[in-house]
Amino acid sequence: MKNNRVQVISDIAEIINSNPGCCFLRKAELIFESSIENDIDLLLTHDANNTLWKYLKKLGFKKKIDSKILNIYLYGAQPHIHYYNKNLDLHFDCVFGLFHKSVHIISQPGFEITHWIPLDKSIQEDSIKEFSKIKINECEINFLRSEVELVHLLAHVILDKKGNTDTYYKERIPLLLKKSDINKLKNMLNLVFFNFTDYLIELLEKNKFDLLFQEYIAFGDY
Amino acid sequence: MSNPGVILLAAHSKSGGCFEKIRIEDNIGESIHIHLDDFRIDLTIEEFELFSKIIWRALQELDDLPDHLKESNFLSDIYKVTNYKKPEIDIKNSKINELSFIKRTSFLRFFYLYGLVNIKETPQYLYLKNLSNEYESYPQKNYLGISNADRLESRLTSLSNKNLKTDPYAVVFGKNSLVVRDGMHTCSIIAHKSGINSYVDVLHIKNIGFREQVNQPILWCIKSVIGSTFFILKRIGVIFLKKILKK
Repeated sequence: MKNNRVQVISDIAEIINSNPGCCFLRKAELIFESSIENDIDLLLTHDANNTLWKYLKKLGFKKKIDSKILNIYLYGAQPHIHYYNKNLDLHFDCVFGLFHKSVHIISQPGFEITHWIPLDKSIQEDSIKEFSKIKINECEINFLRSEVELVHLLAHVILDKKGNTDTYYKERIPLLLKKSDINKLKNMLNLVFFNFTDYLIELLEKNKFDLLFQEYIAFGDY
Repeated sequence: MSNPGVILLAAHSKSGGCFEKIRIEDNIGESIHIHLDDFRIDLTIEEFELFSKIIWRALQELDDLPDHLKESNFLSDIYKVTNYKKPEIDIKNSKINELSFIKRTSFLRFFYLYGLVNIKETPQYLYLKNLSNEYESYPQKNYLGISNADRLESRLTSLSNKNLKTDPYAVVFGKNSLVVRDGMHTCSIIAHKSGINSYVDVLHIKNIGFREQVNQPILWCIKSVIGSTFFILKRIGVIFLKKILKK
């Protein structure tokens, strides 16, 4: 069963590599340790998604698209598509762009409506121009370049997770910060976090990850 | 370029008048937006605070209000209740134990039921007395990033800093009503600290609009069921409409 899993993930990596504009979105170095709960996040084009689904369908994967009733997709954002197989303990969470949750939520009894917003167009375009690569299990893995990955991770931690930063991100973010071109990074962050950018970088440099969300919503210097 | 950090600070709509809809949004890191129908005003936080102060002062001076009402946190809400007429009020000293409080309960996941309870049965009081943790998941709207417990804690702190004797603690609609419409947290804290037989100043709004006169728990239950069902159907309708238009 384990071999099947490895084979499926390797095949997916091949599909990703052969389709321009696609990559593993987060935790690329951990994809072989993934499970149903700890899914593999993929950034795909629609063509690549079709190829992927044709392949996964044959293996007995099931498909689920995030509800449009509970989510509102603004400015071109689109729902996540999930492919999962309980026997293989695998779950692929696929997106067609860098889309994040807005802090604006509509509350109704029993449920909440989440608004999804894409990161700025220039970040989206820049994100797929060129990828970083690593080799795991003889398999080449494409993932986002340092600056784009860092912007995406910060948006993920602050907006999607509402500040709930797990250990992986606490280790990964400082690493990416060291590797990033600070001017490029600031330019991109300015398009997402506006005047909060400089203070955000200050918080990251002081390793104050648990305060990111609270400081973001309490920020008042603008 | 869209800002994902939008917090809705206030919204109000009313047909008639020079504009019908107003929305005030905090676009984190960028600016405060005031939307008046199709117009938008962008302000810095400093400008917005100044603007708020001016509006608040105007509200205080709008009618010949008693001093304690001018300083009350309830002032802007009171105008809504009186249908924007000059508020006519009474302040009565009432025993907390004799007041009724509105408790919300989830029903079939998507609806709320409303009932009247004594202070001893409010989730806030039971939580403060360590008798139940129900309050932690009690359905209520808080500021972003603030839990129910945070809210109660913050009210507890602000109450211990304020001059407790001059401020009304609760608001009821009508001259003789005992149903508290605002002030459940405050009354729970006072009941917890000083006992359920303590007296509190209760603000009675006498000239409430017709809507508030008929607005009772049974009607809120019906409104919740209709409102939530309409909301879900509207979402489904929008999705189908988008699909049809795409074709």
